Amino acid sequence: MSSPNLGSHIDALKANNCRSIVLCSGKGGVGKTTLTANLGVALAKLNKKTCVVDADYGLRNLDLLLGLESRIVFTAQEVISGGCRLEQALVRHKHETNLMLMPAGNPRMLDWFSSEHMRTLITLLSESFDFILIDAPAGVEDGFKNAVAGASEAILVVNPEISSVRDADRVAGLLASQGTIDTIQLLVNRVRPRMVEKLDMLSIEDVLDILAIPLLGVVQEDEQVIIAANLGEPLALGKPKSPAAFAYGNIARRIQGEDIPIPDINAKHGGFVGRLGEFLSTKII
Amino acid sequence: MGAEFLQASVVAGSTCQLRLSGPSSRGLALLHGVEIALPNLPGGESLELDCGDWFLGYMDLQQLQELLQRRNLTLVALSSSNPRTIVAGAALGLVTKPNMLVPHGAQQPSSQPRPQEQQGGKAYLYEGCLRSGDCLDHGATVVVLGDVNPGARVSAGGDVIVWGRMRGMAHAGCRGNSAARVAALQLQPQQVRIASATALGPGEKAPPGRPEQAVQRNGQIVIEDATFLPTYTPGVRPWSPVAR
Repeated sequence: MSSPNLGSHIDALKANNCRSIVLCSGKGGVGKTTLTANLGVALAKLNKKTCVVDADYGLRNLDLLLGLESRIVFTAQEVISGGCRLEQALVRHKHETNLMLMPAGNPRMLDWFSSEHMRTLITLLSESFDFILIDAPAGVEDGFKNAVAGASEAILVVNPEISSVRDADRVAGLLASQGTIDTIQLLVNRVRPRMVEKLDMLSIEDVLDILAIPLLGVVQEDEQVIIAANLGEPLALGKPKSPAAFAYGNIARRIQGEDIPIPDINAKHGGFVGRLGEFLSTKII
Repeated sequence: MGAEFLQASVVAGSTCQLRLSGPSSRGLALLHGVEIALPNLPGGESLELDCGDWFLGYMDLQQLQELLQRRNLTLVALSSSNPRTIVAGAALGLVTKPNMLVPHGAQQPSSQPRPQEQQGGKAYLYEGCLRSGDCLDHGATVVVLGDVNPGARVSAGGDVIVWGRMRGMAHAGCRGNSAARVAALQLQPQQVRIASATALGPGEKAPPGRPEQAVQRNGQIVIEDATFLPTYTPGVRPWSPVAR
């Protein structure tokens, strides 16, 4: 980008060798926040200094999922208004020292926070991190636009259902015309292999057929995710005992550039993951 | 960057017009330039922006919109000859008017005037995928090199030709030309309209590798194999094949 206004944070990201990735979906409830928390943890476990930014000012809960709610003193609001230094607002994770959270301020931020503020925040963060993950709010309104303004890459989170795919298609169109996002990758979340097998759910191929976006990874529906969220301990923290935790680790490694094949989720006896998935879906249904 | 690339005009009783010309600029340079020209415009008006052939992204337009808002000017419509600017404008909810300042296929011999030209304008080429919510609207024939996804809409005064999969909504002959058609490599639209006739899409998956077209026959819209023979549908050919 040639213009200083739109591209200042891009230059800073490049200069500091930092990658700023926004997780967005359009539709709500597809697992953006859960993924942001888990991918943040997974990247941190790979020894990458990672910052997760909560850009969902209206309904913040990234801090909850990470179990850091009580540790927040200052927020992005104070950083932008000059009420504190950047380091004072960042909250370090209890167990994973490479992971920091930039908390969202109060919902009144919706009124004044602009794309320019987001770019300023990302420029500041780019100096001390390898990865910045931005958790975008649902919808395609101002909150979404602000979240996207700070990123140079996007991960589009989609569930294998028709409304989620349609919304993701709209978001992909907006991202492409936005100007600063140069890479969009697709993450299919909450897949139930058993339902896909019975043709009750869209398959990965169906989703890719419509969206035509490179696939970053596939995460199966996993009740461990809900349990972990309620405990405030992201699943990726522990050993990859469940298929979802296993997938988070693989996705993080793909994000940092490793070539790890995406396991075929439809395969009946596709090794460890496939068997686990089958076992899991029998439990659910 | 001065305001030399800007032309502001106000005609009493109609919307203000702002025209961007010359070499393209974006971001701050664009905003500064526009800011200088703004005092010439009365406040509290709606404004129409002519972007020439500039590529302005979603963010550029959004910032421009904010700047104009501060001057009490409301950006209502946008015209451009750059398809990407048009799609970005449509994404912002603006009324968009594609211009044909740079005609495609200008190398074609002009000795044989084609029917489309008499209807105002040559075929309009859009390269890229039209995604859900995108909307392409043009008075002549529209050619899309890419997919039209479910939820996207293409309407054309002439034909709608999609070199890809047509899975959205298509309206050919939207100004009343019932001889217009919708053709695609894989024709699987949600809804097809030709002039004033409307039909639901076939519902079943289109056979891959067999281009099809929807045409109007006796007031009914039918889908058949696409044909580009010059004698097939006289008067609605979007292009002349090489002289035979």
